[in-house]
Amino acid sequence: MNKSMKLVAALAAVALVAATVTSCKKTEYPDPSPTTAGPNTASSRVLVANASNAAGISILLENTAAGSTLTPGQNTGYLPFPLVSSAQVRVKGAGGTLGTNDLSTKFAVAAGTNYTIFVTDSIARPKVTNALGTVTDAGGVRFLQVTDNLAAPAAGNAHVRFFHLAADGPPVSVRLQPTAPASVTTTTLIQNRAYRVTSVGSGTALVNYASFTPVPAATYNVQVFASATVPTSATAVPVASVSGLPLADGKIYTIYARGLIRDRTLGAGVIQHN
Amino acid sequence: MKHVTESNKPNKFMYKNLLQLRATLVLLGGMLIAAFGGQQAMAQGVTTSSISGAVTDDKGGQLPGATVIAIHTPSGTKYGITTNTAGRYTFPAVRIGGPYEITVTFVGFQEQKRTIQSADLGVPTAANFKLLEEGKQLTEVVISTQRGSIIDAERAGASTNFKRESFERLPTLNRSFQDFSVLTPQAGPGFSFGGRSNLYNNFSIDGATSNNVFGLSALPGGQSNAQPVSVDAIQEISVQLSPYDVSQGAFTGAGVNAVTRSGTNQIQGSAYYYTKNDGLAGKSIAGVELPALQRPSFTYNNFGARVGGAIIKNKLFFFGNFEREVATSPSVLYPFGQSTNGIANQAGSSLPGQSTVNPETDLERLRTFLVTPNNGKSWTFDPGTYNNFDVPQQSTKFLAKIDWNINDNNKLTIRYNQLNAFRDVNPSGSGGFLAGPTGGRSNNNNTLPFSNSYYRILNNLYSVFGELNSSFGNGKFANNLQVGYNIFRDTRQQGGGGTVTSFPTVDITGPNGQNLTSFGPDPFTPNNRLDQDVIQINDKFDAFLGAHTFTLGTANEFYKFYNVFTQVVNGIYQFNSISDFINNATAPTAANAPSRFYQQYSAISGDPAPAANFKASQLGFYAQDAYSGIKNLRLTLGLRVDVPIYSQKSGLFPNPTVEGLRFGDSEQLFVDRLPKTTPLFSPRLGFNYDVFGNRSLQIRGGVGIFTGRVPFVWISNQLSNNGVFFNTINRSTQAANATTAFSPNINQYVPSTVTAASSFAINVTAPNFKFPQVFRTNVGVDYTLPGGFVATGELIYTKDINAVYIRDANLAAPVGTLAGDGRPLYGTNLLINSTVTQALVQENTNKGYAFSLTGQIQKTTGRYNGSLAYTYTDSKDLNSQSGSTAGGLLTSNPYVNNINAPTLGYAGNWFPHRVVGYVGYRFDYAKIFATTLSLIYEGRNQGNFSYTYGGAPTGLVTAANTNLIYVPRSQSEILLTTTNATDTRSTQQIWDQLNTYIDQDKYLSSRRGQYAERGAALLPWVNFLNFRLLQDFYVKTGNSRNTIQVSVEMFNVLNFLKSDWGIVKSPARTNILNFVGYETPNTATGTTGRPIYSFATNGDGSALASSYINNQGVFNGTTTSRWQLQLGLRYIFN
Repeated sequence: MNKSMKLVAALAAVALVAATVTSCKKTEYPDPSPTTAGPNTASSRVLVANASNAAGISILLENTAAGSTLTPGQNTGYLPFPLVSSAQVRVKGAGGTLGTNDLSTKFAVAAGTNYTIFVTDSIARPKVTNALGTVTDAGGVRFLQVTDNLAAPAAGNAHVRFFHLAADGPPVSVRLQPTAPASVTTTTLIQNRAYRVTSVGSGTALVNYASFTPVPAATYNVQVFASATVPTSATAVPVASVSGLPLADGKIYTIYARGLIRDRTLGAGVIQHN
Repeated sequence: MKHVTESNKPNKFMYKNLLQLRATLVLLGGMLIAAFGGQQAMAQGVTTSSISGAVTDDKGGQLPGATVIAIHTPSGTKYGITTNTAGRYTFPAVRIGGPYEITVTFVGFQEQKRTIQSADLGVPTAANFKLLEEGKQLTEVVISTQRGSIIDAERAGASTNFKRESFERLPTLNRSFQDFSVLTPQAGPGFSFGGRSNLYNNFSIDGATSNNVFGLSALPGGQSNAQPVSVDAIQEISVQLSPYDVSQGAFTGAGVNAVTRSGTNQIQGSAYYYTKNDGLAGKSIAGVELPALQRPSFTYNNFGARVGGAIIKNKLFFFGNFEREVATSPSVLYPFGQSTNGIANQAGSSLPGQSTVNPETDLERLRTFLVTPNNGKSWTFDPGTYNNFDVPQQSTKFLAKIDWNINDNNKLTIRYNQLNAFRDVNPSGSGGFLAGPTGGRSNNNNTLPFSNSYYRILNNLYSVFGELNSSFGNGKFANNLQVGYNIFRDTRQQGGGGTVTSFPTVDITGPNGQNLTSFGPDPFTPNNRLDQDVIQINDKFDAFLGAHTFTLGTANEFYKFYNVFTQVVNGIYQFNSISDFINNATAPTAANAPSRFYQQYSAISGDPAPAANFKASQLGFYAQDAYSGIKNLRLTLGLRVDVPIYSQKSGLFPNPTVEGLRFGDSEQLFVDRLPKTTPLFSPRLGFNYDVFGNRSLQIRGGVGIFTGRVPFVWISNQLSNNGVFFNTINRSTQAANATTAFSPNINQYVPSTVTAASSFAINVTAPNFKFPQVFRTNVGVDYTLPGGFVATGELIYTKDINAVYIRDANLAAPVGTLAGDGRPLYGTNLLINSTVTQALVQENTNKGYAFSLTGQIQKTTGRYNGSLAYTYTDSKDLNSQSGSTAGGLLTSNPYVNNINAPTLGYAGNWFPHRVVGYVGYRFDYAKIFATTLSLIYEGRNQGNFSYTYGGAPTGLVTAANTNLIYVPRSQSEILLTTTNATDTRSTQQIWDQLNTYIDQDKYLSSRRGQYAERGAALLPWVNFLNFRLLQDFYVKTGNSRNTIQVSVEMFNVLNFLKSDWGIVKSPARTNILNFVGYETPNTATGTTGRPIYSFATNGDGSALASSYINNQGVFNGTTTSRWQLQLGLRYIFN
């Protein structure tokens, strides 16, 4: 091999070696550490109540059927969310009574939190169109979602709250009149509840209707009046009432007015949360 | 080579080679001091060519003292020299082109004349002469002229040349010389080469840097899609990938040099007109004729003229070119209310089963709300249209050049060129100092911005350049002096022209989580202005001393920048839905609050738009010896040193607040200090070995270091982001915006009294930051085949020495590990110092490399010519972003582990396989006709992309949409949820769709159980074929010829033949999974539990089943799905 050949061979070899030895590195990503445990379902739950006039509502959580079919006034027990953080709740009407659209909502679910979702209104609620002809509200039934604080009531007490979910009703008031045992004499009045309103005021003046009120454990007559305040007259006729409702020691209840006055379907629903 | 087989023992082998290298260096050192003699080597300038050879008697004896005269016949430019003691001569710097007439005379010998057709840019021409004694008859054939465009001793590195003849014959869309540079086998997308970013190229005209050195685009005029000079004004282009000639510098990608035309003794001129429009374009893709709305109109008209001639024959020449381009392109290719590939655009604009438009994707509802007065708001705003409109693009180019042959030894060239261009551009998808909206702002199947969000970019360039080529000492010495002055003046206006509206930018998220629309001005346009003044002074001195050519030179550039960049100065609001925006603008509540609002505003009293004003320079010095004293071998050994100098005085403001802070690892940062000056050395060694001494086989290559520069905007960022100029507001959640509703007043949340910046981002360049440097080596083999074919094999390897990456020194340490994944998890507090939103530090890294292997066969002479090349490329780096803001460079770079310590991923310009070829044929007939046919073929993957999560599962919300996904093996490895309330899929169905998607995706299916890598997903292979037919009708009158030329060019011929072919595709969705929340959300500590994702359907509710969608546009460059025709008419006089 002559001098030139040696030189060229050396130079070419240096270049080739530098290239081949150092090139074509792999990317340097770390090893992942996936887990295959099932999702955390225990911490947050939802209870669905049918406060509308739609018959045969079935519930789907993340589009998987959950709970039983609900007639007006019925509610499911607490259903665990398939996963928290963001969950979809969908209701379907039997035979398409909700129209062509299902009713569904997706919301951020906080960990360790219980929710109640009411289906309210009439399936015939008209759709809303703005001045430009754009549909801004599809009409029909709607959801109303509240958070449930299931902290245990003090001994001898039950927890209760009330929502006005009768679509064509004026603001209402409620009287909880104990009937038994005789030792319980405290009458509880719930004043001025407007339709679908879950809180009033803001900041420090906030009154959250989703908060529960302690009442002595007893059997009560529940009277709903079509006036903002409970009539003083003992003979005033309530628009809806539930007689002999037991509010048991340590139990938590939601009472709601539902249905439509004009349809004479007005009634009261009761949910026991625990 | 036997060494290759030994490479399985790298250590021993490397050691052995290091010894060999040492021996080589010792040998080279010896050569440097060796006596002069033997063959003469040569060098040449960047605007010129060289001619050299040996003069012998008929027995091969050397003839010193013979007179050699070369005349460039078109201009009469004369070069004279006598042969040296070895009987050799060199003309180191002759005009490119030809023909040349060379005459050799010597007392007692017969005169000999020879014509050389052409001397090419940077390619030496060899012409050897054998003189016969007086009275002796020629008894043997004289060695013919050898033109060594491919096989030549001067060639060591990888390079490709394109001559005027190519420009005139090959198809070119938009009359762009980039259409020719892509014929370089190693070329990649977007004027990139060898897998490196195009910002690392150096583009020069006549050897003088003409880059947009600020780096907002690879080429001057790039932002307005304008060519810096007309193709008609270019004589030749060379693309150098690894020149071991140390006079070449300022790039770590490729050096691209265009040499302009000069006038000749004969008046030559041409006038031309090229046109195309949507009527001359295909209508079908994949067997489906697109509805008229989806193939909107476009126009393109290019017209101009050139003329060149002599003012004084053989002495003084002129050349001039004027060109104007007027074009419009459609703004909307994915119109509202239409569908693409059967899928509704803008997610759910017409959902199945819905007779009405979904109010949450109803752009008309939004527009009406904005323009209607007194509808719950006190203001109106015209966002423009969401329907298609014509986007204008115009440019005017002018070039004038004077060549003066002062005498045989001194040639002077003066050139002036000018470019005035503008283009309207869709709003940037970037967020500025925070991440942009998911899916960006430009029109695609998810997103449709309003027209008044467009902006107009204006690029103006004025350049004057002078060059003096001298030779003295009877050709023993040559000098090349270049002086240039470039003025860039770039500004922006509102789309359509005029001043920018005073209104914030508003982004509205669609039901599928992607940005649905944007209105209000582009966030980067108000006040945007860039003035650049670049002076350069280069001098190169060659001494031709026997077998050595010594070169000494200097290349100096002096920069002055004035840049106003007030990003997000009008503020950006982001809303979760159209309803949220409308409600927030009329009756704000916490529920309809903006999901994000951020703004930057001036902290300098009386100056709402502070400017970065700075100076810098780069001095370069080099010395080189080219030695050809060993038989058949030519070596070059050189050293270049580049000295970047930043002015430490002008435009720098100290920030005492920042100086008082300590960042991660107790780092202290100074915004008023630019990097210290560090000389950067680039030693290079090149070789060329003519194996058999007959130019039939050559081996060439070398090793060396190449020094480039960063785009100066990366330096300028420090001056604009110093924590002194601007204050920022950043409210990143709906809760944070609960009481601060949308306001059309851009100063609503800006304090009325200007205070010193209290919350700001800073950019800093590390004190020891160095300009990019690469080690590059190549080995090439060229082999002459019968029939004029040359086969070439070429290997190029580049290793970064100083590459660039960005880190945020103010980023708080992660608080834990993302459950079920393993990457670091950031807490709710992302800042080490709460007053600083980002402290971005520009650093060097030595990680990154590029490797390419090319096989090529070509034929450059004769009636048929052509080339076919295959290139394999591997290119990896730490950060491929080419954006201009440091924030964008950091927060757009997909990553897995630690955004501040990025890992090696595939480079943005990576293309593993590429085939490129062309063929041309010309024939003259019937004395008045000539027909030229040419074809260009290019086959490659269309690009690469990264699969990332939408949102920020690692909690690093300031860099959303850049977490590379983990590809689940099974459903149990991922928590999935519905996309929104209307999503009807069960968890099982969502997984089934995702699983099917992963299975059909070639890349994702190969990465199950692993993270997707950055840039690793490839777009499909596509074949492009472009065709050009030139029909000349000419009449000869005396010495001149008048030609009428009609040209027909077709792009994407394959799509014309069959609509299934030649289709360009884009990723259907790169943010394939959207982060929704954590399994066990906890607002106090940030998070616990695994992340939950949604996998959105198509807009119509159908499953996302394919990784790609077909591109429909035809206007965006040469790589478009539909065929198009361009017609041209040209008159040529010569």
